[in-house]
Amino acid sequence: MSCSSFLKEEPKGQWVAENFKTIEDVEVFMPTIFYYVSEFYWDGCSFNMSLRGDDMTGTHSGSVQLERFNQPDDEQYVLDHWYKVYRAIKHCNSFLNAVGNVTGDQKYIDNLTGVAYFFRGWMYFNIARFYRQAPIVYEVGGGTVDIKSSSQEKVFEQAVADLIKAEELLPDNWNGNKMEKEAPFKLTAKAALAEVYLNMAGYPLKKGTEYYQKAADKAKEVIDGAPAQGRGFDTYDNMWNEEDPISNENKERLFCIYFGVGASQRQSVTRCFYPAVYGGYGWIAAERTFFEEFPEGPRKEATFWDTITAKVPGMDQPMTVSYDDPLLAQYGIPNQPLYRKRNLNKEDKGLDRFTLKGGQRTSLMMPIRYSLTATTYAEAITRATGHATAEARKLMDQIRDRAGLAHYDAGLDGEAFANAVFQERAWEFAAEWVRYPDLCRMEQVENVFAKRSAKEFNPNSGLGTPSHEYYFLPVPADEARLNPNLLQVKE
Amino acid sequence: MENLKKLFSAAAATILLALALSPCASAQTLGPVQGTVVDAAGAPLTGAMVTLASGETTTGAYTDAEGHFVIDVKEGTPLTISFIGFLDKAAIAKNGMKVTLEEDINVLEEVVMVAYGSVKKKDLTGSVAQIAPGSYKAQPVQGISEMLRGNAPGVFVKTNGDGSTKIRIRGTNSINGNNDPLYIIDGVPNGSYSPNDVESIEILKDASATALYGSRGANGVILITTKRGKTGRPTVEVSANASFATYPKYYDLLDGNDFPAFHNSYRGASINFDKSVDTDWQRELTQTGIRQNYQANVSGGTDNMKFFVSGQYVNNTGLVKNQRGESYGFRSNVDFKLGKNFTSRIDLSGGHGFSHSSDITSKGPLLNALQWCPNLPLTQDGEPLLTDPYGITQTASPYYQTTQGNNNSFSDYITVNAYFAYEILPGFKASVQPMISKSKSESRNFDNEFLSSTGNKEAYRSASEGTTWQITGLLTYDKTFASKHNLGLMAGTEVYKTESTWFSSKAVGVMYDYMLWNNLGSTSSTDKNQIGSSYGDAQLASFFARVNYNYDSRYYLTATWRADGSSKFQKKNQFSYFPSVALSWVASNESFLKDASWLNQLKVRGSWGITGSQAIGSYATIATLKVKRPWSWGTNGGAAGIEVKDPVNTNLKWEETRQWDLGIDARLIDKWQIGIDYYNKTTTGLLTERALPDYAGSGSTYVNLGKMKNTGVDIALTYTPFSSKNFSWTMTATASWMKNKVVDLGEIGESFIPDDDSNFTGVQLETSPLIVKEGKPLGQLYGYKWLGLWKTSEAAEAARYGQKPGDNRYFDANDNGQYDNDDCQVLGNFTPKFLWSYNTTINLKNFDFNLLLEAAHGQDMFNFNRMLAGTIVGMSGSVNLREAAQNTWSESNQNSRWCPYSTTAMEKANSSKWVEKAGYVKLRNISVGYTIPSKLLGGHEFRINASVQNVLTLTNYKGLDPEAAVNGNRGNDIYGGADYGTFPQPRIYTVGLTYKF
Repeated sequence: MSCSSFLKEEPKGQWVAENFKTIEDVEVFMPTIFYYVSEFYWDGCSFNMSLRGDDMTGTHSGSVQLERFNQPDDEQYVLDHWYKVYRAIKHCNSFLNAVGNVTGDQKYIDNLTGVAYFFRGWMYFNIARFYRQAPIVYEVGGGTVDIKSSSQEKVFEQAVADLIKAEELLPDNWNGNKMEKEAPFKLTAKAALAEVYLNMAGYPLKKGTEYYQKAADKAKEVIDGAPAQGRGFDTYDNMWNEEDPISNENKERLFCIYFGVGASQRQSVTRCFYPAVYGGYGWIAAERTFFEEFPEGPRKEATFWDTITAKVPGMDQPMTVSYDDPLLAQYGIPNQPLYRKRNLNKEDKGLDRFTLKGGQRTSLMMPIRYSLTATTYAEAITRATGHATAEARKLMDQIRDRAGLAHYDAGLDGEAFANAVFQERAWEFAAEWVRYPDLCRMEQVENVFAKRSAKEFNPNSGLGTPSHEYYFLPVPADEARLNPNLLQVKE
Repeated sequence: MENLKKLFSAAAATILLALALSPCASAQTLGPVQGTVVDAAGAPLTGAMVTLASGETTTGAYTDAEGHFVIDVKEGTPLTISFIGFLDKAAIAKNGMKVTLEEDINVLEEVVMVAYGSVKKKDLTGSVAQIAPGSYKAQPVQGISEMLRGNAPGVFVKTNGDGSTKIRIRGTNSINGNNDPLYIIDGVPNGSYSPNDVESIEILKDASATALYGSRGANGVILITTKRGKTGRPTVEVSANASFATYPKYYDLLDGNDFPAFHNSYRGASINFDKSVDTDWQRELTQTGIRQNYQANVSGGTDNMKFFVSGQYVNNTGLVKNQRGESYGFRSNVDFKLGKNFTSRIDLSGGHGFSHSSDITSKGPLLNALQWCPNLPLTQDGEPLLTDPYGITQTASPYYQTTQGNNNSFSDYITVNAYFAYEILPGFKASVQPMISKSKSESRNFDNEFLSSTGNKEAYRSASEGTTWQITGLLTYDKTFASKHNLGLMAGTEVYKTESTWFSSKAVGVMYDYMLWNNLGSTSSTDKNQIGSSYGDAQLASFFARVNYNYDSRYYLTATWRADGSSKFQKKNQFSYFPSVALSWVASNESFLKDASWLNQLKVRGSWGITGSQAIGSYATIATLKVKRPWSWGTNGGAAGIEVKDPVNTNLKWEETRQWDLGIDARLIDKWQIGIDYYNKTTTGLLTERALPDYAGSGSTYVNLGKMKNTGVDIALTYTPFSSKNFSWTMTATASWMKNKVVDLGEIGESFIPDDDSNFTGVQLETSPLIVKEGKPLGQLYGYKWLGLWKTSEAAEAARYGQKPGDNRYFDANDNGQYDNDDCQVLGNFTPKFLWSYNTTINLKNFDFNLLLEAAHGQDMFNFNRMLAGTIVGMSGSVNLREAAQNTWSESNQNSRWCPYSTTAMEKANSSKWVEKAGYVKLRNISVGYTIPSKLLGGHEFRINASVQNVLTLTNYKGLDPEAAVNGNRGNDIYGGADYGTFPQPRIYTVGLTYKF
């Protein structure tokens, strides 16, 4: 017996990933990865750092702080976003470090590996587009306690590298597998890559044409491949289905997470969008200017509630009034429109429209849906080539049609067309955590802030002045306290 | 008793075997020759061996108590007379012959055991304290701790509340790690032994002495050598001791006569107490403990085969009721020679232990005894009373807790330790020492519904098993060149493996009490039952070497090196290296001092080296997993997932202690012996729990960081004013100054507060009462500074804190009108700064006498017992302490420390109000013995002895025992310093008989 084998510990009574040999051994990591990815999206965590955009506003003493531009490094939610992203990464790393020893159906092993790479890449993307610098970790454990941060560019590159691996390893679909409804597939990875390239093309990396082209190419692959996987545009009714989002085969789903299924799972973010008076957290509502500028039509209908039903003291019946009604303020209810698409009730059921079923609601989150990739293609190809392609125009026409709006003027030049798509994304993906990163990449945060209504629940005065240096978040103070090296950036 | 019988029959069989092997077994008929063997002084030598000079082993004889022998040979036959410690002598057989043997000076020269070998005491370069049996022979020792007391400077022996002891050599090196020294018994780190089997103990203190134990050496090493047979007629020693333990001190509490009136007036109550009942709860928990200890051994042998066989039986009835135990053990040490150059040993030891008690680990009984109303009876309708019908205290009766629990543990062990050596060339020897040890233990516990935490009848069984083996291979070479260059080389390798398994099952809701743990399946509902099992292993592979060189016995150099490979670490940190070097100068051997008759010996020593500590458990660097909630991918149901349990640090390595030492040893005018050492130890890479950033997995992991320093001076002074055969008097004084300092806590920051570890349930603690601070020693007591009780003139100021006169007043550091964490400060330290001892033994003809004083100074302790007895706090609903009842604060007694009943008293446990000086001087032992002259018993020896231990304690501490502290029995030293429900050390009276023939 050699010295090194004699000195090997045998943790027979312990569950050790190194000992995993079969697919069944490592498959048990999958529920955990999904669980922690979902945690990033539950209870509004994923939205918090997007409140600085113009689509959402804080309507709670906790969330109003999150609209400040100069986020202090000890703000709890600066850490919360970071924490949840890294926890998901940790479990992806657990899987990736264990899967090397596994033998069996190699194709299936590759597919599972693709899932871990996809989520890790997507999570690094959620670090890259929010933080100025951050560490990149591949291992699980205390071995990284002293490492330095990587630059924002390196974190973006890590996201790209992971998503490219995911694209290579993921299957075309998961038909017949227990994860078929939720697991990312090849098109999901391509669509995610398109988003990462689009962000890299703009501020702060400003990689420009080359990356717009990459984004457009990936998005095009998604659009071309979608029909074969039953994906494409769908109706608002289907997308924001309240009754049974689980069995409803909504075609827009490219990357989705289901909430409220089974006793152990988290409730969705919807509760953050519920007004406090109806048992929600009353955390987020729509900004007034954004709502007022929002083009009228079926899309606006599907997106907002412009009335609020409230039962106030001294009144037998609940009253339904405009969001702007001064009576609401009298009872401490913010004068802000609400996000119907996040509240998931398409019918006005009076007070009941906000009632949770048994405190829970089944819901669907779509971090990437087909329309997003379509607009990404339209904007990216136009910015890359300087003119809108016929395909880009066709896709935008479909989106405008669905919203009940006229097509763009055929005479728009490339620049104007791209900017129109950029604006279209604001309306189409309101409260879908797309707007704030969009504003950053196009350096528009300051411009939209200038239009902010003085009547917002959260007064402008408390928010500070937006500027480029505040676009991205600092390393959370608690993290820097435990590892001061994070304040440095690796060469 | 059945076992005892077996033991004695085994011993008898061994004696017969030895006799069969001995030369006198077969008789010749050539006519006997008689003679006498004496020493140089003319005193007869008993047990000397007379054999044929031809080497023929069929004939031989031993001398009796008068030195006589009879051998069946013809006159004129050449004989050899030999005796241990004397030079062999040739003589021609002649009736009435008288042979005088000369002492063998080389053999008598004192030898000291060191790591992987032994050296002559004069050649020692490291700091080693040797404890010979003579230094504790007169005391009724029950364990190693008593042998060390008062005999070795720099060694702190602390007895815990549960009777276990904690031994620290030169202070505390580690914050979270184990600070226990390494025990090596006959060259191996396992095995058990009876105190009666111990031949000598060496305490290795400096790095030169310990570095050969590498990663296990940092806390010092205790080498225990057991007795071995000597050439000569077999001797048998039988001894019996009986000890009686009594409770040394009780708190003065209100009795059944005084309690009712005081309580009703104090609490404004009108309870109709039964004044005919007067229960002294403290005394009802205890009884006179009785310990019986029987041991027997037989030893003897020839040049080719020697044996020492012993057996021991101990039976113990506890000082606390419902505690009892029993143990027996045996040892067989056999040496044999299989040829001129081949020697070997095979040692076998084993034993069994049993103990029974109520589950008093919760510290409940003693605390409750200080709080229970004396007007409550012990029993009601023949059953022990369970709860307090007056409703004053909510806890169970201390008597019930003590007497109704049923916890039993059983243990068995066996160790085989063998040694084979072959001398390849003169001075060049190869040896191998294999050892295997197996142990088993089992618990069987039953708690009824009133004692269990769940309110159900609970039965529990667990079993664990351990196997440890080690193989050591050594090559040694000793040679003197050109008569003045003395060289000793040693190289070795060692592999060590230990494995353990554990299994347990607990049944909750057992149907009937009488079933106890015998039917775990019969529970009312099975879903509360618990089962568990575990497995652990650890391996060590080591290489080491030593060079000893001296020039002319004047200039000495010792250098050692060890490489330890441990399974607990990952590849890059798997091996650690531990070097040491020592130099010494024997000035007394220089020509200019050689003739100084007043100076027998003067040696100056210096050493430096690195050692490690075993502060890390198995699997600390392996990421393990646990079950996580399921996920269902959008369909109901779901699959369970797993996730990493605790983030691990794969870069973990040993804590490393660098120590240097300067020492002087001197012997003056044959009567004075003095040893002084200064040491300076720095431990780096302290194993510390570090909070992890979220990106690294959050939670916490063990890391190596920080620095701790220990410096000190050890002095041992021995004075032997008389050393004649009829009157000898030896006294040894030791003194140790110790200074500990937490130099650096690394990323943790300037200080941290250890978790209070839920040891203080029932007292009002707002934070843990301890703090670890950079620049300060370990063991800082932490809390509020108490400023007395508010006086009537301070009513307005008291009102600012929501208090009134008579309530406790504390220092409000930030003057914010609240007593909060920011007001806490260091209140003392629980580690003694200075230790001393005085041990004296007098032999006057056949009488012997021993007295041992032991003292520790400079430490403080929280006295939570006194607080619970004297205040209303936690679950305590009454004041029972007489001192408090008689001296309660009132307008006319404003300087009292005892509050009147008040809901705003804010009685805080972690305040300076309850910190007391815990320094002490203890009269540990007084013994007298008398040995009946062997002449009167035909050469047999009969000794009778009597002693008292823990005779007297001089202290300002107001509790029962200044040594009683919770958490004291942990391997680490971060906790301690609080007297909370721990029993004091008993006073023990022992009488014993020893018979040797």
